[in-house]
Parts: sequence; C-alpha cells; structure tokens
Amino acid sequence: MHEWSIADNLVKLVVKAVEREGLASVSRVVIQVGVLRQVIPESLEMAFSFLAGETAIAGAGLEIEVVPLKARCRDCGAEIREGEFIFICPACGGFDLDILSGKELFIDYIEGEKGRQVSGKQ
Amino acid sequence: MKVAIKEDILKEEDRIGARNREVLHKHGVTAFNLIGSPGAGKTSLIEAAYRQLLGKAKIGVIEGDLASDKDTVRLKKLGLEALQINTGRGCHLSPGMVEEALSDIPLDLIDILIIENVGNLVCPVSFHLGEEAKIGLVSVAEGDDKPTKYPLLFREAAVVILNKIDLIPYTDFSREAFYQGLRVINPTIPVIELSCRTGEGVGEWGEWLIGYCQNLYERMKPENGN
Ligand SMILES: Nc1nc2c(ncn2[C@@H]2O[C@H](COP(=O)(O)OP(=O)(O)OP(=O)(O)O)[C@@H](O)[C@H]2O)c(=O)[nH]1
Ligand SMILES: [Mg+2]
Ligand SMILES: [Zn+2]
Repeated sequence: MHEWSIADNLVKLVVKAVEREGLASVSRVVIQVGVLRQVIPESLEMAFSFLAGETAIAGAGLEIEVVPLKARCRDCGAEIREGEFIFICPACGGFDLDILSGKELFIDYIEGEKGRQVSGKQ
Repeated sequence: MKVAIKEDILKEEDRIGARNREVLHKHGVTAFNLIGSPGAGKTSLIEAAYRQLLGKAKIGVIEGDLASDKDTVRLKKLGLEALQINTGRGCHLSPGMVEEALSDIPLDLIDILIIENVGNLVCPVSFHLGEEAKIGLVSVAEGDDKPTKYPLLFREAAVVILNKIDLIPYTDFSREAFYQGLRVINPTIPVIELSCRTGEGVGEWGEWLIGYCQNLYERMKPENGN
C-alpha cells in the first residue's frame, strides 16, 4: 500500500526532470526497487499511471526492475546472494554484513522526446 | 532520448525526516518510531512506557491512525502529551505529517517522543520520520513467523518487543520458531518479551528506553562540545 506514496514521490520527481530537461513527452520511466521493500509491482504501476494521468507525463510507462538481495561479509569478504532472506554469512557464520543491494527505491532513467512542452503544469 | 536521473525516489521524504530530527535534537527530544500490526499492543506499550518512566523522563506521543482518535483520548487520560494524526487511507505516517504535528507538541516539556505508526509491518519502514530508532513490535497472537515475512522491519529496528506473552499457553506460538526466524534476519537484535496485560517484562522495556537515550547523549556529547 505504500505504493501510493512511492508513486506520488516518483511522479513529482519525473515531472521536475521533464521541466528541467525540456522534454515534450515521456514514454518510459525505469526504476529499481529492492526486494526488501516488498513493493507489489502491479500496485505501483497502477498508482503511477493514475497519478501520472493528471500531469505532463500522462501515459508514460513504468518499468520496475526488482533488485535482489546481495550482501558482503565484513569478516571474511564472502559475497552473499540469497533467494531467501538470510543475513548470516554462509562461509564463516558472521553476522556483520554490508547490504550491497536489495533496498533500492531509485529512479534510473527516463525516456522521452525533446521539444516544447505541451503542458508544463501539474 | 534517454535522460539519466539516478535519484532516490523518497529523497524529498528523507529530507523532511532529517529536518524533523534536527528540530527534535534542538529541543533535546529523542524520538522513537513504533511499528507493529493492528492490535499488537502499540498503545498499550506506550502506556507501559509512561508508567515505567514516571519521574525519570517525560513522554510525548504522536498517534498515527487511519481514522479514530480513540488511542489519543486513552493516552491523554493518563496525562500524556498526545497528538492525533489521521492518515485517512494512508498506510503509514509520512515525515510531512510528523513535521506538522511537531509544531503542535510542546517539545520543551518532553524528553522522549514515541510515534505510534499506522498498524502495518511493511509500509512504515521505508519512511524516516525523524526518529532515532525504530521499535519493532509483534505480539504472540499474530503467530511466530513475522520476522521471516517482514524482514526489513526486523533488520532496521533497534529492538524487538514481543508482547502478549501471557497468551503463549493458549496459542500455538513457538518461541523456538520465533527466535529461529528472527536470528536469520537479524542475529544480534535485542528482544524484550513482555505482557502489557500482566506487567511481566515491562520494567525491562522502560530500562531499554532510558538506556538508549543515555547512550545517545553520551555519543552526542563530543560533537556538541557540551
Ligand atoms: N492478553 C493480552 N492482551 C493485550 C496485551 N497488550 C495489549 N493487549 C490487548 O490488545 C488489544 C490491542 O491493544 P492496543 O494497545 O490498542 O494495540 P494497538 O497496536 O495500539 O492497536 P491499534 O492502534 O488499533 O492498531 C487491546 O484489547 C489490549 O488490551 C497483552 O500483553 N496481553
Ligand atoms: Mg493503538
Ligand atoms: Zn563471512
């Protein structure tokens, strides 16, 4: 359900980027979402297209790349890639892990057409 | 054309959260973000904290709730400074909501601010309200598999409270399964078992709160030069 707040923040950032870059339209918005965020992609897409619908980026497609959990053991350096959520080093049993990925909520890039904006208003 | 953005989606929320934290620091207030399922005992845990800390520290409360102000009325009856935020359909408190609430709370009169988040184990975890620490609350009645199902909360919390231990004899809750699940997610997190009903363990909860604040003051001293 936090998908709505995420979408709200996302739309605002993309609209800002569109104004900054002078884009006339946006076709794709590509974001990364870490598995640990437990975001439901369909809900996020729905919220995004609903909220974007009232702005200059209406109709933009959202692409969500789900980023798996990856960590490194600070004790022995082993890399941990788990399908499941396990936060113990399989090599040495260490607990002190550096979480390398899995927590992203990140806009990677957008794709659009340059030109005069049709409507710069929200 | 492709335009690289490379920005955190919640960066504006994080900025407001960080600002809240500064305001709290300025007033010498330590805030805790209390996260747990509906009915886990969040309000009961705040009441217990109030009783444990009477004469030691003054607690203020922000109550996040979908609609009602029942919990706030309950806390005010006890004599706490409590403020209600109704989130409507929102499944979590946002830093902006807390920012507004902060201007209505007499921050100079309190030492500790406990923010009761909306009952939910996923959504609140991604929004930093300005707290020093998150408190993860689970109750026996919810079952012993919560840590495995909601890993981020149990990774990011500073402490786990297991409430309603008075119910253990009447349920199929397995302590062993609970700790096994929790230790895989967070091997070192402290756990306080308690019952807000019988009062068992609530002393330890009060001591944890005081201990956390004292540690924080110690850590902040050299920076502030006082
Ligand atoms: N048996 C038992 N019941 C408890 C305990 N702690 C709280 N309760 C009961 O659990 C119910 C919910 O407690 P609250 O403190 O209102 O829980 P909450 O998490 O604030 O609930 P919401 O704000 O509605 O999400 C109440 O009926 C409490 O009396 C406990 O340790 N044991
Ligand atoms: Mg409550
Ligand atoms: Zn290791």
